Amino acid sequence: MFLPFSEQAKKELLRADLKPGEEAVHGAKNFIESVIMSNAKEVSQGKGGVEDAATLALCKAILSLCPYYVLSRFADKYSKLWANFFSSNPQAAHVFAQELFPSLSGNKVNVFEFLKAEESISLREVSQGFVHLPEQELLDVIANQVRKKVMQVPVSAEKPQAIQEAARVLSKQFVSPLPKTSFLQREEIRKIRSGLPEGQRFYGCMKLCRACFKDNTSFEDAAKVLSEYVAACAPGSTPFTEREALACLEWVYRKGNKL
Amino acid sequence: MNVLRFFKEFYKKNRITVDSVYQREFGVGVDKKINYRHKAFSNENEFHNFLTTETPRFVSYSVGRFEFPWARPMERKNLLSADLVFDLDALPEEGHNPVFCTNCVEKAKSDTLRLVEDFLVPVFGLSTNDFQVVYSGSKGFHVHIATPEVQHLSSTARRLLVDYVTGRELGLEALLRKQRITTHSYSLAGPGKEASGWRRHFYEEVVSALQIERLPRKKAAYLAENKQRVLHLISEGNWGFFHGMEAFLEQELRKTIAKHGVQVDSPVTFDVHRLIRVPRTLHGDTGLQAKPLSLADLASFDATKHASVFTGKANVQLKQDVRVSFNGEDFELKQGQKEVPLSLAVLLACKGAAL
Repeated sequence: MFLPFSEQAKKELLRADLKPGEEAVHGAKNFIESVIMSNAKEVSQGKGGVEDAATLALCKAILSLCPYYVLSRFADKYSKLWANFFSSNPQAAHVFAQELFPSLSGNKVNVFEFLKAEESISLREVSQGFVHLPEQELLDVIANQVRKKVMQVPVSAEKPQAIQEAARVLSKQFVSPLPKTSFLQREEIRKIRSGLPEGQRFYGCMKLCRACFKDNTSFEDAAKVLSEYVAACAPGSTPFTEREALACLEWVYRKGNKL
Repeated sequence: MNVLRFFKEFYKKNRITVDSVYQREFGVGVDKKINYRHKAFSNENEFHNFLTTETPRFVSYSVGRFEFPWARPMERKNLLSADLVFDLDALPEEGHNPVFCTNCVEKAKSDTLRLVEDFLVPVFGLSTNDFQVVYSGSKGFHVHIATPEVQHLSSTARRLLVDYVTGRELGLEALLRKQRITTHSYSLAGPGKEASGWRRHFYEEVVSALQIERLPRKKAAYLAENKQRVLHLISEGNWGFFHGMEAFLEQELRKTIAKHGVQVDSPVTFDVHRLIRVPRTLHGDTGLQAKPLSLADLASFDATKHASVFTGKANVQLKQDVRVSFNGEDFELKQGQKEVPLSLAVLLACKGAAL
């Protein structure tokens, strides 16, 4: 058995060379629905086989075309399902933890390996180069990693018609609970979008990112908005780059509602 | 005074070596730290020739190593790996000397020592051979870590590391959590005596601040009678006593962070495309060398003594009165022609205080 997002799953998936038909896409769409609606009783249908990996890969392809909000809801719920699974299957949890953190020994993980997984160490016990993780903290970290793996959707390349259709249906079905006001259309944000001088560019970028997030704009669309903003900004003595803007966007979307 | 003449002489006599020079992006400055970047050198000779012929006032290199360090925009450079660098600078305080402030250097030095002694060695498990402390040439220090395990840390991972060192992301909501006792009541759970790291620091700070005169009247009265019990409960992680005292706890948290956190220039650490002064080069604002230091040297480091590279004396035309401590001597110089040590003359010229 292997987990659908493990390295082994990726290898198996490549070896199996599955060609997703319409039925499989439909199945993946239903799976997204059932997870978001919390109908899913188990984390997967095939209990960790190559089918699960294929389903998850299809889910991610569909979600890559959906608004950020749908992806994030799916990731939240899906990781919760796995958290439940791991707490009743400590062995599977350990297998996955070991794959995530090869240095895991007992309840200790190398601090740099832990950071590579982009997990915060601020409130953890860290000493002599190791993060000490009690059982429950380790399970929480794994669940969070599941969420992150789901959130790593592929960059939107041209997708088959069936996938596009599934994404369109899901996008309509799961409407953002945020108010419909468009922050991007506000006067002060429109001024920012038309470009700012050196010294104000980063703060403008931050406001723009927040507006995108509040508007429930997908990450890709927000990246386009920022790309236009970067082009409109004064070059100044040191240019404000798209990379800096994207780092800011990534941070805002990562922090989400905590801001 | 043409300081670049002295810089050129220095670079002719002292060959500057750079690790993986062909993979680094360089930035050089004439009238500010960086006027031009995206420069690259295919080998050390090329770099040496550049320093001895073009002789910029400031020379910086990327913390990252790239496949195509000269390429633009950044994405085309193709990042291969990146050192982890901390930049520690002190903020000017009252009595700051704009010519050269030894107080700022001392403050940055003590922060650097704290970073090493409280974080790099005991927390991150690095040995003293894993990092190099470099005096910036002005009022701060850089700590370069080039071990294999840090090379592929993402920008986010580096940000998380900085968050730990600075304590910036700490909040009461993360340190204390509500724990339901019955349907209508709850207690506060927090760090106890077994906690470590920031949680431990916070615990100790709050316990030491538990003085009757600092508490609201009711709490003070309760504490006066039950101090041992309250302390015992807190040590067990039960913080129920602090219900309604968020302001007090918040204050203690701020104090904890100020006391134990090390304030580093965060973007330098998390931005893998950042340029940082090349060790052993000269700082264009002071003429002092960005000197690599061993830990033993750091404790007794005196910037104007140990990072001065010019010997001899020179005549300078001072534009204004200047007071400065330099190489263990206090100089009170009046406007006009003066003979001073060459290193000081270069410093004054770099600062625009002398011709």
